[in-house]
Amino acid sequence: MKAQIASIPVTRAVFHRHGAAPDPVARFTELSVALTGFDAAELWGTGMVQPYYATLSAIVGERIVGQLLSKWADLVKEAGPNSERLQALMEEQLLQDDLLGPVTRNLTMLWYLGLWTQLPGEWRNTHGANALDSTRYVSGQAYTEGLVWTAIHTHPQGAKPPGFGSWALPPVTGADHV
Amino acid sequence: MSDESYDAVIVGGGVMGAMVAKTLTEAGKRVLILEAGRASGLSFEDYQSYVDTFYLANPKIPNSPFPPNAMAPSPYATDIINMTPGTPDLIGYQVELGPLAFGSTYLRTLGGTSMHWLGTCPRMLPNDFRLNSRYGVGVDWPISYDDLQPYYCKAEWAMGVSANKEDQEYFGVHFPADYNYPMERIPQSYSDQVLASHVDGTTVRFGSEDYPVWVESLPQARNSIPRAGYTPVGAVGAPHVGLRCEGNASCIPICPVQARYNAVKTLAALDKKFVTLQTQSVATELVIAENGRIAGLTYLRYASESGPACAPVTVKAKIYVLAAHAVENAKLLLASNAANSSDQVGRNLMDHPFFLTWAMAPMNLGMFRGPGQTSGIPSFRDGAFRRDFSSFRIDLGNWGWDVATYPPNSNVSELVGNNVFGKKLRSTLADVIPRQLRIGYVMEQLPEPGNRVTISREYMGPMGTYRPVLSYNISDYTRQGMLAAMKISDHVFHAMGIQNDQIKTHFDTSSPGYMEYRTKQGKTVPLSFIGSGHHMGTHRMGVDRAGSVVNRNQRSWDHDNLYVVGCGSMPTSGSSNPTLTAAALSLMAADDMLRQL
Repeated sequence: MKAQIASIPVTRAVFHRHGAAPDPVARFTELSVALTGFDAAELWGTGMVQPYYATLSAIVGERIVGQLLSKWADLVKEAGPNSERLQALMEEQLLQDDLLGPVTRNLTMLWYLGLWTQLPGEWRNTHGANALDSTRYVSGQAYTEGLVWTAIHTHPQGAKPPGFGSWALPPVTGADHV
Repeated sequence: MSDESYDAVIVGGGVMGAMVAKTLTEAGKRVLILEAGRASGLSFEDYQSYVDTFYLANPKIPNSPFPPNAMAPSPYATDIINMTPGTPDLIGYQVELGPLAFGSTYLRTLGGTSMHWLGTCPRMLPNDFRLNSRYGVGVDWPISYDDLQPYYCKAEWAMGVSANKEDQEYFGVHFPADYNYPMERIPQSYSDQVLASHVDGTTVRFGSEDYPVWVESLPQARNSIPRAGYTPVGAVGAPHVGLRCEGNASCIPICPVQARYNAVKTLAALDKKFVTLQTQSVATELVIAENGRIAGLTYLRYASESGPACAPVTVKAKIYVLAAHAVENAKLLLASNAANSSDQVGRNLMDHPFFLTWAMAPMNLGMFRGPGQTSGIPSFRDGAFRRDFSSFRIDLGNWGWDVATYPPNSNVSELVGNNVFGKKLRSTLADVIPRQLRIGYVMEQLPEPGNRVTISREYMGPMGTYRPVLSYNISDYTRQGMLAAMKISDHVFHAMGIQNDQIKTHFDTSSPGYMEYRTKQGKTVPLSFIGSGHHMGTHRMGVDRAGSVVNRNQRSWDHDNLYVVGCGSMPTSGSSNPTLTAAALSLMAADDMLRQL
């Protein structure tokens, strides 16, 4: 199990007990790493891992979150060390899934924007509408920790200002981080 | 509460009220300021609560940090819809009769709309003051650039404008030899520099003239490096915060550190011996005496935003100053049947329709950094073409396609919706968004009597006050200007090395302010605009009482002791963001008030 997961960038924090299956938050983190393209340290650094796990559980329910995470574990197992295979399996079996696809996309957007987007009408009709399932920033911190700002090498508008005159300098690019 | 010891009562605690109150109190006059909205931003903690509201707001529209106030409502951008012919838009506070929706909003709270303005402060051009005699369109002002020039200097120092005067000396704009702006120009963004390296020195032909194209820094009311004799003003209640712009990149809707000027800075610094500031007080009527002078001002005060209001109070003063916003001033005059012997109150409503074009640049422009705009292209602010179509000021956006497509949220939801995830999602966003180039055209609009603010018993607001009822259209003069802007846009994009397939400008019936222009060749061109928030013209100044509401000193022709100040006094719009000009006019009016007192 450990060797299989090693092909995707996760930290040791995922395995909190020797030999035990990862706890749900650890699995949630692994899935989030695969969905966002940010590593676990970057995600934990936002302070949003647990709040987003709680948000997702509150809106779609622990049963569906459980299905999502066990589906994820199955895909990881099936893909083995082949990360391209894992990508393909995620597209086919997670994102194309009527139940889990919309939830997975929403989780990705939540990470990137801090914004929960109301699930599609069809999903709500089939699986039940939750009162918390409305389009909104889940907290002020969720907005300022949106991954999109880091992805585009800047800062959230209205927070973490880079300082006087910084905007006149050439932009940072991905190459600068290598 | 009636108190005749006031020299002046000022309606509205925004930029214009602050400029008048500053002048009067510095001369030892006693002033009462009545603000309809909340006491926003008088403490640093209170201001921070608006920053927190902004973080949570979706969408992050200009008024979004400021929760709705049922007793003193404001229009919200989310209330503005494309209209169906013949059907009024009744959503929100502002009633729209069309044919086009007036695309702009404002804010009724202490500090007014300066709580979320961008802070762009160009002066108007000498020819803007003589549009009719120079180009045969619009009207002339009763004053010239030279008359207003000293007050421009005062306003730039009062608000804290950053610029270098030598950058701004074009199209006849001039400054006193011993004058400079209080702070050095705000550094121009990296994308401005890239644009300048591609377009400076090129020309565009209109008619028989070649117009040189160049990128120039914009004067901005935000803190930069001070010149000798000036101390930057920091946040209200936290004077060491915001002494420089820190690059929060959120001037609109809110500058978290208050490096960008807001009127509360001026209000909070007024000498408390001479000023009484009273919020939650909605002016409802001017009391007119038989001799034509104003004898009192009636207002309603509310303790709670869920009501009820206190009984009406009438306050007396030697002079009365309406500084409540172009729309609110007109509403109050109409409700009082005051100052309207010319029948011009509420008419000639103008905005700068903001026309947008956007494209994907081949190079990284480092978007989403710094103030919303740090430079523009002034080339088409004046010229012989103004006989035929509107002038415009070109704004170079620093926040990607911002109001054109609402990145980065739109990019994220589109990519995720297409099942892009992981490293590919991250790298695609990193590639695309920093290259988003958006150009905005601040279009001049001529004064037209049919574009107007009215009131009606049919459309009432809280506490028996009126809602503003707007009729609005954009004439062919401005629509043709937009066609010219498209020509400039192609020129700039091509100079940047952008291929036609990377020009993404697109208008259809779902675009905000969608409209069409039928060219002289019979071709129908789709156009679109959003509001600039520059309400102007509704109580215009002029040379005689027949064609204007106020004289050159913003004093009512009909009532000797009534002044009506703000962007509503501007007879034409030019292509300058109007706050600086209206602030200069308010300072000029305040000098006249001192002569009366």
